[in-house]
Amino acid sequence: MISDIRLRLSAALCCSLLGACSGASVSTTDGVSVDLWAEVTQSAQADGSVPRAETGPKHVTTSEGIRITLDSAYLVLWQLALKSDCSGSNFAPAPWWLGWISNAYAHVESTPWQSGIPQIIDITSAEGTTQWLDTLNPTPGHYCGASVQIKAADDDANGLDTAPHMEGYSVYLQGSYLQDGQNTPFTVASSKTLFPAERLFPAALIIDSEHKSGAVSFALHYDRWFDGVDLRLLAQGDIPDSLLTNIVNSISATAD
Amino acid sequence: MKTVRPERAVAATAVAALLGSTKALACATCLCGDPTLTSMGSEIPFAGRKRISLAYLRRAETVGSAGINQRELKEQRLELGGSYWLSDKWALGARLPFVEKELTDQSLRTLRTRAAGDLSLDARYVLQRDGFGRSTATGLQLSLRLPTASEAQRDGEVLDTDVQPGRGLWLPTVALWHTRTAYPWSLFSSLSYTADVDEGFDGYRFGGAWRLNVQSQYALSYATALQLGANARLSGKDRYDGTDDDNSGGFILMLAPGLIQQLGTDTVLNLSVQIPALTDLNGEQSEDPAWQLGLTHDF
Repeated sequence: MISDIRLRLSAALCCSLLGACSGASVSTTDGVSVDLWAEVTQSAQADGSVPRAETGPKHVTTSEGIRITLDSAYLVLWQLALKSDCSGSNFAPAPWWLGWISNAYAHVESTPWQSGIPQIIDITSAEGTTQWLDTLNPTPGHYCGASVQIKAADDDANGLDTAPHMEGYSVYLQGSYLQDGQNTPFTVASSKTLFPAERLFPAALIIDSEHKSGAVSFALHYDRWFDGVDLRLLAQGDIPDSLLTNIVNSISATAD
Repeated sequence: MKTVRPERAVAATAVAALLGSTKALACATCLCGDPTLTSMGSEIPFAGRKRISLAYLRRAETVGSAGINQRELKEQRLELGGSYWLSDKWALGARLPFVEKELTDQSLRTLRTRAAGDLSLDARYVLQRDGFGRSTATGLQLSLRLPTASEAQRDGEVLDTDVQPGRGLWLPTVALWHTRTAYPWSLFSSLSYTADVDEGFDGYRFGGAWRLNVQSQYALSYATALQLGANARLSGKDRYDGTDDDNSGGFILMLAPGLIQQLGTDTVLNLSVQIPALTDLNGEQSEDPAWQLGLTHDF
């Protein structure tokens, strides 16, 4: 009996000493992840089809019938966040009203539900493709919607390498509009922080131990940005509040 | 006053010493209790005693707010220990744990590490012995936890402090202890302070901790005893990146009922569970009951 115990203790001693000589064994099990995507797109036509434009200048026609050409256009998306409580008054299945807040800058923290990384989106990119923005690791649960805010890029924004002029700006538009046979160029930029776009998902995102991964896509419907906007202000170098409101309202969110 | 026949007292002291040798596995993770009790014992010491011990501990704790940032840590450790009494006054000991940790965050992501932990060296000194059969003793103890555990990394990134098998720092603990035996009863108590002298892995600094440990034991027979312990800890907040960790530190008192069984002349098995009884921990923290199993053999 005693010799058996001694043998076992000696074996344990050897095992411990062997363990002490080796490094840590590390393993992981993936948890919940929700990928965030952005998609530049146009609104659906009456027949349900969605026009797709290639990379390059974008051409849109306003509700007033004015032809717009966007040679260069960028947005900066911040605070992409999942929401499990969509009872707030700003939540809507479709955009209704938004405006700008201020030029104030404040860094945004990343949390399990929110990406704090500012993302510069090139509106002249190819349509019909999605751009990965970030991956969140939230708690399991039911997520009814998402929010995003347009805000000036700071010096560590994603995309500054290809659009360095966006630092300090939230919106940049360069192009022209054709009205009464006259083509008028414009180049405008804004550093304003816009009210968050809070969107209900058409179907809730359900994350649990059986469904650990999900995706949320923010669609930017740029073809409606100039509807009802006084374009003469653009030619003067100003961005009308109505244009900023249209930009925020053009965002929708879906979840898979 | 109750009188005890000398031969009965001597026998009782010997049995109590044997049973007492493992009566307080206490907390091998230094959470609560006195981690040296299994390896060095709590009985009245005598010169030349050599001991080897094996202690298993299983515990879990939860930190953070449910549904927001809650993290659960599960830990198992197998600690090998040994000690030697150089004289009636001096003893030296060492402990080496093999640690398995599992940390699950709010997103159900789980990190597991398995490795040898930090080696601890202990020195115990008897200041005073009293009573017939030397039934009481008081002394000092100094322990030093060495940064022997390797830093756990994955893909070049250092893992979270909570899942590290060691702490990556020198951690001294000084304690005052007292033991008393009067068969069938015995009592061991200690008060210790672990200093936060340095930063560990990833710059994490643990808060200093006071620990009060009281272990009582009642022998049902010469081979079996019941024990009841009270293990309290009062610790400061941890610090990371220059700021306090609000979900760290505070006060906790655990009650630890247990059973001790003698397996042979010099071998003792101990089973106990630490149950949180009174907590005033900072922020969002909770600790589950900790199960402990110990085996010692004297030479």
